[in-house]
Amino acid sequence: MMQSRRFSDQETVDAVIVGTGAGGAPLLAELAARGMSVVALEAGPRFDPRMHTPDEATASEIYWLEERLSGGENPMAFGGNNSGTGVGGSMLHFGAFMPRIDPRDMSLHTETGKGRDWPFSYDSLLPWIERVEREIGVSGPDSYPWDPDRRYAYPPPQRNAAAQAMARGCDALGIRNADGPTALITRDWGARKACVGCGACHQGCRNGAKSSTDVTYLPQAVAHGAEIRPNCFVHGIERDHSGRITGVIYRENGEDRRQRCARLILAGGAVETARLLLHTGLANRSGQVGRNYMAHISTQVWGRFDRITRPNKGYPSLTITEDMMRPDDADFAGGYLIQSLGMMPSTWATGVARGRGLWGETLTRHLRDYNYMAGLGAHGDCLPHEDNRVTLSDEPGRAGMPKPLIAFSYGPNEKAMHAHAERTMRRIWQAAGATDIWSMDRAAHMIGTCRMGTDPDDSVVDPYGRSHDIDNLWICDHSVFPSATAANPALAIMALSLRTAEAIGGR
Amino acid sequence: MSQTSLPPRIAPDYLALLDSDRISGRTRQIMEERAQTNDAPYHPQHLTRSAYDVLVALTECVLPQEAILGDEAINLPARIDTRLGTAGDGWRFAALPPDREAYERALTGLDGVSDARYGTAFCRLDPTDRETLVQALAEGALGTETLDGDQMRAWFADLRADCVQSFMSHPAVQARLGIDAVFNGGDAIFQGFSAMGEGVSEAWEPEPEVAP
Repeated sequence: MMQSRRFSDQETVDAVIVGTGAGGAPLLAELAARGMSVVALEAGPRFDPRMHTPDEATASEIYWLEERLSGGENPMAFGGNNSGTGVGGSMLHFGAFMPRIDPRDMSLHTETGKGRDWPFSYDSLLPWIERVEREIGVSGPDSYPWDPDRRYAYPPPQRNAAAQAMARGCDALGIRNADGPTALITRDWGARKACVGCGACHQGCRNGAKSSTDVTYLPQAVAHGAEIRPNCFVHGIERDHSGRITGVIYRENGEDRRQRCARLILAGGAVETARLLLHTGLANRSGQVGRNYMAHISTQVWGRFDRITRPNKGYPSLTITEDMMRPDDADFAGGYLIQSLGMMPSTWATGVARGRGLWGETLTRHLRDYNYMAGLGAHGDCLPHEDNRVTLSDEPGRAGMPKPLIAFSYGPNEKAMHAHAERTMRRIWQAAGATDIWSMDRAAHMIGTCRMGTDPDDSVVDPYGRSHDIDNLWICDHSVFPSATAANPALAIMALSLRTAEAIGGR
Repeated sequence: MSQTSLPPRIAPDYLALLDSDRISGRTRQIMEERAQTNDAPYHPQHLTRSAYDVLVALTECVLPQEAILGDEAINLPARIDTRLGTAGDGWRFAALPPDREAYERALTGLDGVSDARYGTAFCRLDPTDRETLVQALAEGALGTETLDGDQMRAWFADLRADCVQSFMSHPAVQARLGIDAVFNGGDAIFQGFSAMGEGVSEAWEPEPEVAP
């Protein structure tokens, strides 16, 4: 499946796209469908989905394992759960939780004087969001409490123990809750099979139920004549005397090669896209490349239940509440989502060891109770901060490109939101009957670093993703987000990808 | 003691599941190799002998295994030393040197503190003094010649993560705890899980051998 042609190195293709995840894949399919010659250069290998394994240690093969340096007061963990590799990008391991952006989050500055507005409204993004949901397959409830007009094509998967416990706790407190939108199908669709609740979304979906790009936009792109070239790491960009891009240099099997192109689209994610631009020194007249790095405030609360929970079973994070998107007693700008959390054993144990800080006999005894645990997790908005940014370290990494250094610290808004989320989730777990409740602060997802805007002096790309400085360079991933919003980023990244593809247009 | 023990045994019921059609061929092979790895006579490949000796004593203190594995044990320091020769997990604290060097410096430094404070090597400390030092390490109150207290605290978090990852991924531990994450579907039939929820187990699912 997905075997594609290979364009010759001498040929100037209409577009080279760096990355095959949520940012690169929809656009690859769309440009190919419009008749353009397109090549996606993917740093990672092509995986056979049937060979994905629930063994977490081995499944790290789908994570981006090139070392990143993590600094600031709240250093983020990368690798697992944050950056992926392989044909399909981070969507191979993403959790498939697929809420839409809350419209208010796109104009947070207008609302609160903090953060930054998007340069267009939710209404203009919505058609693209709906199109993505239709094209990839998303499941959700009949009636979504916070947006009753919304419809999902597939019914939700089965609730696991954490989802049931969260619903019970929320009900007791009068917090509205529902089965969340999930990017997976619950009925067979062509070669893709319905979700069987295997619980290993983060280790790679084995039957095509999860609506990742490897089973949606990428096969479409190949059917329309696009090429996907795996194991190719782009580390150079070539330009002509006028400054326009003429090609990229990439390393494949230890050898540097050149692919000529009429336009270049970067979709490597908020760390790698910024890293490549900082390394090549391009598109940074504004000085904004690498800045405005944001992450979701992803506080977790865990507790022990009397009845067995078996946290590895079922879709991990089904129950959602959006009631905390603008809580009455908020002492912060923005808001957060809460989801239920099941978790695979090693990932959970790592949280216990790092996040709860246990060691000794208390650690062993806590690990022993794995099958009785359930969690809650928040995803909250995050404001840009001067010191939070991606820069280049002085250590050489892959193909000689310096390893990225990511500095991240919570500001007052993030601290206040974290504290609020922790309080709320502890209440829900108490109401649900959990004991030995504990929390850990944690940030997830990488956002910002090449923000879009109308002013070339303080943004990197225009509202369609085109570089202000180089007219045949585009960026198409979550580095362009002007604000983090509270929603998991994949849906909006894909919507923007289709929107950027339309702006690039046909030949 | 982990240095001399054989790989921990796995109960027949759990072995039968590892042989069943509920696990893929690839995952079965991974689990079998891990279960059979006998690193009792292990010689460190990436740490110096002296640093490794500190690691042996420290891992016993960080993650004692009796409450789950009884008188058997997994050789965690051996797994960690092996891990230090791999590409790593995709990130490290910017405040720390690369993993192998951080381990070497932290372990050597801890030994130095032990010697300075108690006049003996860390691995020969009595349990109470050992715990006192580890508590200081966890609180960021134990600086060494080359890593300050904050760096040591950050490294200690890495160590805890390395310990639990090697431990929880071992089929013997998963068997004792009744964890069935790897039995989520086979090659011919991809079963997934059918019945789930609070208090729900399917008939075939393993029960915990150690009572929580």
